[in-house]
Parts: sequence; structure tokens; C-alpha cells
Amino acid sequence: MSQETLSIISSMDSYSFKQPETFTHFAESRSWEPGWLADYRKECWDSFASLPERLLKDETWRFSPRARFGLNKINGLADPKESLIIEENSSKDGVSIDLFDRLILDQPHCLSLLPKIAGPDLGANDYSLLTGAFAETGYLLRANRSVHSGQPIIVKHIEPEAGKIAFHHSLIELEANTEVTLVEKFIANETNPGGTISSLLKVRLGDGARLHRIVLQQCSKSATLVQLENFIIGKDGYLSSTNLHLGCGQTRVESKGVLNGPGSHFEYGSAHSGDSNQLFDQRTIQVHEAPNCTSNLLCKNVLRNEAKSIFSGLIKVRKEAQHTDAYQTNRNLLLSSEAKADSLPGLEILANEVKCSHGATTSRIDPQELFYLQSRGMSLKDAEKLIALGFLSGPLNSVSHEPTREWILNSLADSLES
Amino acid sequence: MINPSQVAVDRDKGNFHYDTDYSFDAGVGLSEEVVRYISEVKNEEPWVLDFRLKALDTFLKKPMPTHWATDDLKNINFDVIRYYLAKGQKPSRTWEEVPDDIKKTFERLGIPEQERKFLAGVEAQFDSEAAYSRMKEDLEKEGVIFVGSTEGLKEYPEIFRKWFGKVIPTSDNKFSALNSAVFSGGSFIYIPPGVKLAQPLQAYFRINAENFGQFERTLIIADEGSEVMYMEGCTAPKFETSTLHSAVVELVALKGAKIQYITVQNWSNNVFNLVTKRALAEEEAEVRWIDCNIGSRLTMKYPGVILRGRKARGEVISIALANDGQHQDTGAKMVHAADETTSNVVSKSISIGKGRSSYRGLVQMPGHLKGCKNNTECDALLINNNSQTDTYPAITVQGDDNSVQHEASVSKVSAEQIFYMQQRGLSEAEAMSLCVNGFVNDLIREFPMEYSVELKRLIELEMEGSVG
Repeated sequence: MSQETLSIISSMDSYSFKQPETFTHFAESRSWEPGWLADYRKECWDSFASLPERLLKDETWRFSPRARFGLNKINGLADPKESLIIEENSSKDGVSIDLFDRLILDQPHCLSLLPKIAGPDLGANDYSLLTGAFAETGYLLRANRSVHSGQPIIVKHIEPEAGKIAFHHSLIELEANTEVTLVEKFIANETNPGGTISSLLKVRLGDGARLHRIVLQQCSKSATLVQLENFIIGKDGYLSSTNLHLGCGQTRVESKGVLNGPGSHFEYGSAHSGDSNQLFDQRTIQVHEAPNCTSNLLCKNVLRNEAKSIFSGLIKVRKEAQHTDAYQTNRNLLLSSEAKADSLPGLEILANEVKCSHGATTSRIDPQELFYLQSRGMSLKDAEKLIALGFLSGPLNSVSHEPTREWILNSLADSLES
Repeated sequence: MINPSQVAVDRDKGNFHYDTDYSFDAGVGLSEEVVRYISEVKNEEPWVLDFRLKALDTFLKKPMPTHWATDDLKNINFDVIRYYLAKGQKPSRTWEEVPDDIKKTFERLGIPEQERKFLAGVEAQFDSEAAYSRMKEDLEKEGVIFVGSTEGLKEYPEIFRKWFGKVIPTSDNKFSALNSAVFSGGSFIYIPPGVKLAQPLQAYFRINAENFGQFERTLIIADEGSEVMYMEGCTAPKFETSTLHSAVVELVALKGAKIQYITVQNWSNNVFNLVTKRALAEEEAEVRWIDCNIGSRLTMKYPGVILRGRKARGEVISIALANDGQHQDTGAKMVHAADETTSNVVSKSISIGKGRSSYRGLVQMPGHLKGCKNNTECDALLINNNSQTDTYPAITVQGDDNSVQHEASVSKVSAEQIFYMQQRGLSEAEAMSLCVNGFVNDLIREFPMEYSVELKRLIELEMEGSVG
């Protein structure tokens, strides 16, 4: 019997999102949950089951080797208790953070916003719907008083063991004039690497609220990460999301920033350092719905060996959003002849009183720069590392909390060293 | 639903059409019989008929590309279109019959006296003998072949068959397949090695040209070291009776050759203009597409260059102007396939009223190449509240010795600029028109002198009534 038929047979016996029983068993095991949540899970599952067959030419997956995000390699759910951890002493006056599964028992009403906010809807709807249906954990971060917390709150997403998938469904709700700094770490599984994390985050900022979010992803090189985020920013709100991706075999990030109230600002920075055959597939959209908003996006990739990056970004300015000021920049540094960068920056502008622009560049390191550093006694390898470090630190410099900035820059420097 | 019998409605100023009698008419709708009929009328070789039939098959099989393109394409009704019309050779009307407003438009655009009659359909063919006979003689002496598509394939198969349908394969897209099935008209040009033409070639000084055919087929081959500039279209509003235009233009620049292809088009508001244009550039060859798109309901046109030889260079310069009810979906494709190839794309678009302009770009550089460079700039100007603009570039780069830069910006004419000019005594509309002309000025300079003057006037004309 050929290898292929063997694998088909084995996949039929095991866990599969193609079988309706997978969900019915899961739903039975969670029959104690409130009715609205059960309904929401069912709704998500039904939508997932009725998704059309994957189109051969799907614009939202253009250039992406989609098979690498296939669900067929998954053979079970990760233990929710081990896959998401909130660092202790994180909660402070007015700011509360708790786990999804604890809140379902004690205060299920806190989570009632979850079904009301959609996912980013930029292509990976299968993961988004499965997360809605199967998530047993996630965090809920709320700030309900005018607090300005200086110390960051830290959440850890742990890579499950090979073959398992962890669904994290999280919510951040900041009331007016609050300010919170959140650090999310994606941590590798040392003993049995190769799991999948599907993280769906929904954020709503009230008037004048400020959220600083920092993501550091250091999963193993065989892990898969699907990170889906929808940020809704209210009047005069400010949201910055800074991302450093170092690990994972394949990463799909979908970020949607909706400038919902006038005067709001969305700042997005991401840095990817790729090696071996890592894939970074990033899709972003900046939606300007209200007038007088600003947004700024900077995505930088350094790619070595056969690493590949896809950046697809869109600035969408609705008719009402006059006086928009929006930018989008993608810069790629290719350090080998097999490294590959795809860039799809886009603009859709319906208002006329706007300033919008995007830029995309892809290049090698300027040989003159290398020569200069070498002439100062540096080896070629070190010179390349130094330039890569300087290049990637650009998006990370916007972190305003200084210890956090230093920590993330050090993490980057360490990863380039190894 | 598009119906050719309704084209008389929904006309802008300056757009017009006449009922014309045709000596050959393939009827409406598309079928194998129509394709066979066209081939028979043209008295074609069997291989051309085979080519057409295969293309028809491909066309019918291919889906509409609406997974990325606008849904407006679904409104094309292929069953009501006439796929082949050949005009009788006799003039069907007199200059007196031409409406006054059209004469006025010609006047304002400064169209030469000689060309006006031809454009208005008073003369079935442009009176080229008088104006260009000297040039024609010179061309023949140099060995330049400049014929229609039918003649090209029949009389010079040894030259044209080799490249015909090679730069743009039939199956490239649905509309190139349609063109391959029913093409007629267009120009086939061959420039022998080393011949450098000082004067641009124009579509309308070829005798008996079916210049404005719906399904034009153009193939230009510039042999080693030759240079040619080709111009098609004109700034004058086109009198068009048909709603679907789908041309295929293939350029082949052999080693060291230079081709400049200049298009200026001003279609009426009901026309779908879906054109496939691509060039092949061999070693050290240079191809420049200079493109100006005005009018039409939907224009989809992405001139491309396949840079196949070392040090080849490709360039696309395009201006698009979208007014009410128009969608200019234009762009450029640059496929780098050899070392040290360079390409440059400069695109400027203006959206007026409810117009929408889009830029779609594609740049590809595989990893085994060294020293490839691309530069892309897209600027969009929005005039009114309802105008829309989009930019969708796709850039793929592999390898550590290639570089690409892309930049796009969207802006509007600032209130300060308008205010400044108004206080110098210009009306608001004049000030706006001046700003728009300034926006495209550096590109308009790339057009030949007479075109650039006409273009400026045309933009002024289009801007009228858009402000205030």
C-alpha cells in the first residue's frame, strides 16, 4: 500500500474537522456552559462546515502556500489549562485580566461581547470560525477606571505538543480614558515541538482609551501560528501593536484596525526574522471609518536561506473619513538567493480630503555598508547581523515602555546571534 | 445589459456615432460559424483558422476573472455583440452632416484639418497618400513591412508566424482568447536590423486600415539594433458603435532594439475596453509603453514587458483619467527573466466626479538572477467627494542581488493652491485645471509634441464642470 493511502486511512480514524461528530462530542463535553455560548459555538461550527471548497485562486491567499496551514495534520485539541497562562500579580486597580474558562463559571456575562465582534475576515475564516467553536481558553482584559498602568500585563501562549491545536479566543475591552500595556509571549514547546496555535483576539477601545500591545513570538521552527486580530478604536483612542516574530515554521497573521471614532490613531509595527524555510504570511487592513484619524503601519522582514514572507496590506478609506492621514510601509531585506518576499500593498480611497501613501522595497544589504563595517574589523557575518538588527529594530522602537523595549530588542539581538 | 442598439444614449459631449452600412457582417453572437465566416471572408490559411477555433474553445472554457476584477465584467453580454464588420469603402456622409458640437470639439483640441474628416467618418480612410506618401516610399526603401493583420499573416508568414501569439498566448486570459478567435484589423510591422526610424509610425497612415476595429491584433517585430516608435489612437472622441473592445498587442524587441508604443485613447462612456498588451525584450533591448486612457465605461489594460535578455529595459508610463461612470483599471507588469534587467513604471491617475481609477501592478524577480532593478511610482489625484482610487501592486522578489522599490500616494489639490491662484485672478475651474495639468505634466512631456498639446487641451475639456 502506498504511503498516501496509508495516511488517508489513518487520518479517517483520527481527529478531523471534517466530521460533524468532532463538534457534537466537544459540545456534549461542555454542556454546562451558558446557552448563548453554546449557540455561538454551534453557529461558528455550522458556518465552518458550510464554507465553500477552497478556491484555487483566492485573492486573500495570493502567493501563499496554503497547504502549509492545512488542518489535516491536527489530531486533537491541546489541554487548555496548559496553553495559556497569565503571569501572576498582573491585575491591578481598575484593570482586570482573567482566563476565559474561569470567567465562564463565575461571570459569563463579561464574555457576552465576544460573539458580537467579528474576526478580521481577511482569508483565514476557517481558523476564525473553528476558534469561535472550539476555544476553551483565552483571556479577558478590561480596564474600567481611569488608570494608567505603567507595568505591562503579561500573557503567555504556550505552543502545544506536535499534532495538537490550541484555540485561544480573547477579548480586550478598555473603557474611556484608560491606558494599558499588554505583552503577549508565544513560547515554544521544548519537549515535543510542532503544535498549532490559533489565536483570535478582539479589541474594543472606548473614547480616549490607549492600548500598547507587544507581541513576541518565539515558538519552535516546526510550529504553526494563526494569529487573527480585530481592533476597534473609538474616538480619540490610540492603539499600538508591535510584533516581533522569530519562530514558527509558518505564521499567518491577519490584523484589522478599524478607526471607528474621529481623532483615533492606529500604530502597527511588525518585524520578522526568518531562517531555514520559515514562512511569514501577513495580511493587514487599516479601515478608516471616521474623519480626522491617522494610521501608520511598518512591516519589516529579514529573510535568510529559504525563508519567505508575504505582506499584503490595504488602506481602506471610507467616504465619510475625510482628513485621513494613513501610511503603510513594507521593507524586505533578502540575505540569500533563495529567500523570497512578496509584497501586496494596497489602497482603496473613497474620500478625497486625504493623505495616503504606501511604499514597498525589497533589496539586499548595500555592499558599501558591509564593506564599511568589514573595514572596521568586523567579520562579514557580524556585519550582516548588525545591519539586520538595526533594520528590524525600526518597528520595535515605537514601544514606549522602556524596559519592555529593551527586553524585546535584546530578544531580537539574541536570536540573530544564535 | 449591454445592447449595441442602445449606444446612442448615454453619450458625453463630443462622443457620437452614425449608423453605418457594412459590406460584410457576421451577425450577432459568437459561435464556430462566426469564426469560420471571419476566416473565410479574410481568405485565411488553414492554420489561422485552426488557431481561431482553438482560441474560441479556450474563450468558452475560461471563467470571467471576477475573483480579482470588477463585477462590472458580468454585464457584458457576448450574445448581442457583432464580432466582425467590414466597412464599405465609400464615404457615407459629407462634412456638412457632421454635427456642430463635434466640429467644435475638433477645433478646441486642435486636430489637424486633414484628420478631422477621417475622424468624423466623412472619409472611409484617412487621406494618407498626400500627407505621407514620401514617408511611405522611404519606409519601403528601408525594408520596413507595415501591413494589416490579415495581409501580414498571408503575405509574410515567414516573418510574422514565428512570433504571432507567442508573446501573449491565446490562453493568457479570457479576452486574449476572444481576440485570438475573432481578430481583425490592427497592424503588423517588421523593422529590419539596424533600421532606425526617425518618424513615428501611425496606425492611420496605412491605407485601407481597419484602424478602430473592435478586435485589433497588432504585432511589431523590431529586429536587432532597430528603433521604432508606434502611435495608435487619438485624443479626439471616438465614434464607436460597439460596446466591447478587446485588442491584443504583441511587441518583440530583438537584441539591442528599441520600441516605443504610444497609445492615446478617448472612448465613449459605454465601451468596455479590455486590452492585452505585452512585449518581449531580448538582450539590451528597450521597450517603452506610453499610455493615456480617457473615457470608456471600464478599461482594463496592463501593458507588460518580459525582460528576457541581459540588460533589457522595460518602461510603462501611463496617465488615466476617470470621469463619471468610468472605471480606469490600468497598470503594468514587469517580468524579469534575465540578469541586470531594469524596469520603471510611472503611473498617474486622476478621478473626477464619480470616476474610479485603479492601479494594478505586477513585478517578478526570481532568485537566480543578479542585478535586477525595478522602480514603481503611482500617484493618484482625487478631485471630487465621490471620486475613488485604488492601488493593488503585487511584488515578488527572490534573491540577494535584486532590488525593488514601490511607492504610491493619494492626494487632492490643496485648498491653498487653489486659493493662491484664485487671488491671482484665475477662476476656480481654471486653477483646478492648471493643477491637474501640472500633476501630469512630466508624463505628458513623454508624448510626441502634437499629442501632448492635444492631451493638455483634452484634460482641460474633461475638467470642465467638475469644480464649483
